[in-house]
Amino acid sequence: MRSTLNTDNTQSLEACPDCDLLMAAVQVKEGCTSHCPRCGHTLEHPTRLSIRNNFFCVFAGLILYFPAMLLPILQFTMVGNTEALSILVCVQTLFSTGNWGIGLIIFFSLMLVPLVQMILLIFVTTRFYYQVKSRYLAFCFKWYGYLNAWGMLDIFMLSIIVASIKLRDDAELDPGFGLYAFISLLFINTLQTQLLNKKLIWNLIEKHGE
Amino acid sequence: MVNKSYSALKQGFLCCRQCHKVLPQKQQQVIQCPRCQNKVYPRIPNSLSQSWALLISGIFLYIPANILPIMTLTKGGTIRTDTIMSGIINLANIGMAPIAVIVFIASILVPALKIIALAMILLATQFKWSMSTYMRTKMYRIIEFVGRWSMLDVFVISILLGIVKFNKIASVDIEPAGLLFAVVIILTMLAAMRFDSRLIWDDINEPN
Repeated sequence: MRSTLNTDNTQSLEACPDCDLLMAAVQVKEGCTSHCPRCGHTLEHPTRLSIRNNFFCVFAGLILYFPAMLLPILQFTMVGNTEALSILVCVQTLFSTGNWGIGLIIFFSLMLVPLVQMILLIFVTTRFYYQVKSRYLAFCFKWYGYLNAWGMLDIFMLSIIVASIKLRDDAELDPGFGLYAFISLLFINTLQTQLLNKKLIWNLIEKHGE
Repeated sequence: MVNKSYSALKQGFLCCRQCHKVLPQKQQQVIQCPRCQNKVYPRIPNSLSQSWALLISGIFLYIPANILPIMTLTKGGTIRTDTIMSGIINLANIGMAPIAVIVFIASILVPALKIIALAMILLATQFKWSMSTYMRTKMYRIIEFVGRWSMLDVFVISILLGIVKFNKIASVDIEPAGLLFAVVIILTMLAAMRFDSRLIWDDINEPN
């Protein structure tokens, strides 16, 4: 392997981020996936028009974000009176009852991180329309990567189900409009993560700076 | 595939941890990535010690998080205080076994296995155990993937608090273990992030 590897030009080299294996960079066809031969890490999974589709996903996500956070996700009837709960109200309740620690965690992982990630990605995917320095683009995309592990929309979906089942006997629960928006946001968010081609975006950011 | 393997570092190249750009190694230890402006280290500095510190703090908090009550439910004169485990048993008793299994996996099984697996990976890497590198990498990836799901219980008690707040005859209070448990999950997530998985592959004997 060593004899075939041209180490003069770093552009033609690629290292596995998981196990540091040095390889010759390969062009991966759309729809195919490249794996690290040593540790099996997925190196790249390019899809057709991934940047354009990413932009549309994030744009749809931004529209869905506000109803998902502000409108009631659950409506419940307990001893005659009907009330509704939205994510914002949930966070407010946590703060007003003194559970600021959990309140902050929920605020960050459900409200702040998804919103900031979407704004950063909109900025990166529409870079051609703005005269921005590649340094700022790199900064945005870097932070998008840092925040990736801390958005927890999918876990909240499961906890809505668990909480509704726990309260099944005590209250009559109905889904609110916010729940549909939330499910759509989760779906779009997952799709966008699947479509995201980090390697392609980093290469474009690098070219943008030249 | 070819089993012979040469890491980038041993051939004089660094890989940027953020944008994965390959850079030639210079004389000085730290260089800045021209693409993402990140500092590029050969490996995360003090990766093992940082990971150990976060993991051990997580283990210490894990004990009170499981023993102390997580929430109190007052309903029609009866007060019910639940720990994580008693809440799951209660769910199973009211005939919700599938949901009880999900909560059990997310809040008991995953954190416990995660702590054990991460400790094993750290020990094996530090003391160069002859444990399969491929296995360790697989384990590490599973840990990174499932770690967040333990937040399930914290979200459930928050939703319960939000719903029951409006009600006159019932009330929910979140007890200290709720926050403790969330902190355990965050600490173990950070511990997994600070561990540099490339260290696993560094001590294997490479053919020359």
